[in-house]
Amino acid sequence: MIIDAHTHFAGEGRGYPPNSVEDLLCILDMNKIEALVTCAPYSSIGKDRTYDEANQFLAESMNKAPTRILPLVRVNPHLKENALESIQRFVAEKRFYGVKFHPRNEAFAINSEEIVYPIAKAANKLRVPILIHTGDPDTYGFAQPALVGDLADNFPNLTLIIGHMGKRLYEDAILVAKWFDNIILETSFRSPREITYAVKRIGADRVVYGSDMPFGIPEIEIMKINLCDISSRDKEMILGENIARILNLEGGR
Amino acid sequence: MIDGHAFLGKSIYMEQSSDDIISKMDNLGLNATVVTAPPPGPFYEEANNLIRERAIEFPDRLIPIFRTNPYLEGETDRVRIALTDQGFRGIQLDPKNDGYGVGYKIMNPIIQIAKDLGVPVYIHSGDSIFCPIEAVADYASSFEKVNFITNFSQRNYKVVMNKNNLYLMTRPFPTLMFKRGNMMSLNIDKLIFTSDAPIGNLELELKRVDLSGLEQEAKDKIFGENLKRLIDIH
Repeated sequence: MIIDAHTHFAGEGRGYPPNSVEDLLCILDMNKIEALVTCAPYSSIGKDRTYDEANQFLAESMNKAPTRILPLVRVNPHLKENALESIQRFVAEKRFYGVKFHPRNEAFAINSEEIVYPIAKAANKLRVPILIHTGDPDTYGFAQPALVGDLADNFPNLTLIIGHMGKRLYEDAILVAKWFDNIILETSFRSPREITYAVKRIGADRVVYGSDMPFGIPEIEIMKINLCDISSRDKEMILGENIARILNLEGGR
Repeated sequence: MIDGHAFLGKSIYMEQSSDDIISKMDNLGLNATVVTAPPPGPFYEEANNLIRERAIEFPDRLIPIFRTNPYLEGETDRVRIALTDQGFRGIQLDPKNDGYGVGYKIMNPIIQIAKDLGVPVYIHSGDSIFCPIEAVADYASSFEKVNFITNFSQRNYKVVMNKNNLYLMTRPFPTLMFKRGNMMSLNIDKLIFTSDAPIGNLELELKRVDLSGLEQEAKDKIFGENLKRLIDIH
């Protein structure tokens, strides 16, 4: 079972393929991917700086393939009320699977008490994970994976997924994951060597495969997991079982 | 088909033997690999000796590049001997691991040797304040008769494209740029296929090329023709 834990989907006119649910499902079938966790890309931000339209598009997409398209609500934490309303509307009511935010795109620190803590509190209450873009140490430190540790420390029951495993800061990502067991690492853009290293440091049960499609290529990102110097059992967990557990897919959510 | 950059030897960062490289080349259909000693230094004498021995053992398969640390006393003599008497066919500089900035004057005598002998210079770039790709491009301008090869940068590759003497190693291969037709500014003649194994993965890089949708003519350039213009490959 393969589940892609990090993708973006916005449909036609948002700058990136695939343009339709049908095309998206075709990509999944080609790569033997059972389901994907997806969220709006930055290119779909509205003129009002919200992701309302893009989130609604994902809700409609999910209705077309509810077992295969597992959306996360994307929020702009600067718009405090809108962010909380979006979580209520899309996670509590429409059954999205979690929250996504992007500290570099929206320019905020991951551990901002003022604008991120209320979102963390809402996700915690709804028992859904937050997927966080990380990396980019050159953009004023907004997206440093170490900051996820601060959030994890303050919300010990909240599952936090470090997107891209911190990119160049993967060592930092692995360290905070080692220190806080509510942190999960997502593998997009990391090498087999780095993923292997992460598994040896924190265990395969805390690592999830992600492609970041359309910015990454599922075929390549899956191949990386298969090239890792880890057991077949570890690969199975990373490629799908772990994210299924995190999203409570077996529990019939 | 040639892998334009891989590491041979053992260090605290990595290990790859000549048997590993030859076996992978055979399995994946490559003819030759450019090999250099792995970082870190500061001393590379033993590591370079291993490269030389293995290149003698596999003369058609391993193309040896001399890793040099310009801080070391007497290094220019060692570089000249390596290139004239020991069969090395280029130079590898690694500002990040040896702790100097691209453009420091200590580099100049080494580059002058490369110029005198007409061999290419690999310069590591990208992930350190010592070696941004822009600094490599700027430095290449001051030695226009020397060919430089440096790392690909998704964000800043364009600084290389107008430098006649600067080439890009492809890892990670920019598959999506080609696949989506966004390569108007990406000059095929400037790209050299590299795996950076064992840090990178040869099989993975070949797959990236495979998925890029490039025509065979373009692949031929990237997999060897471009490199053969820069380096003496028998």
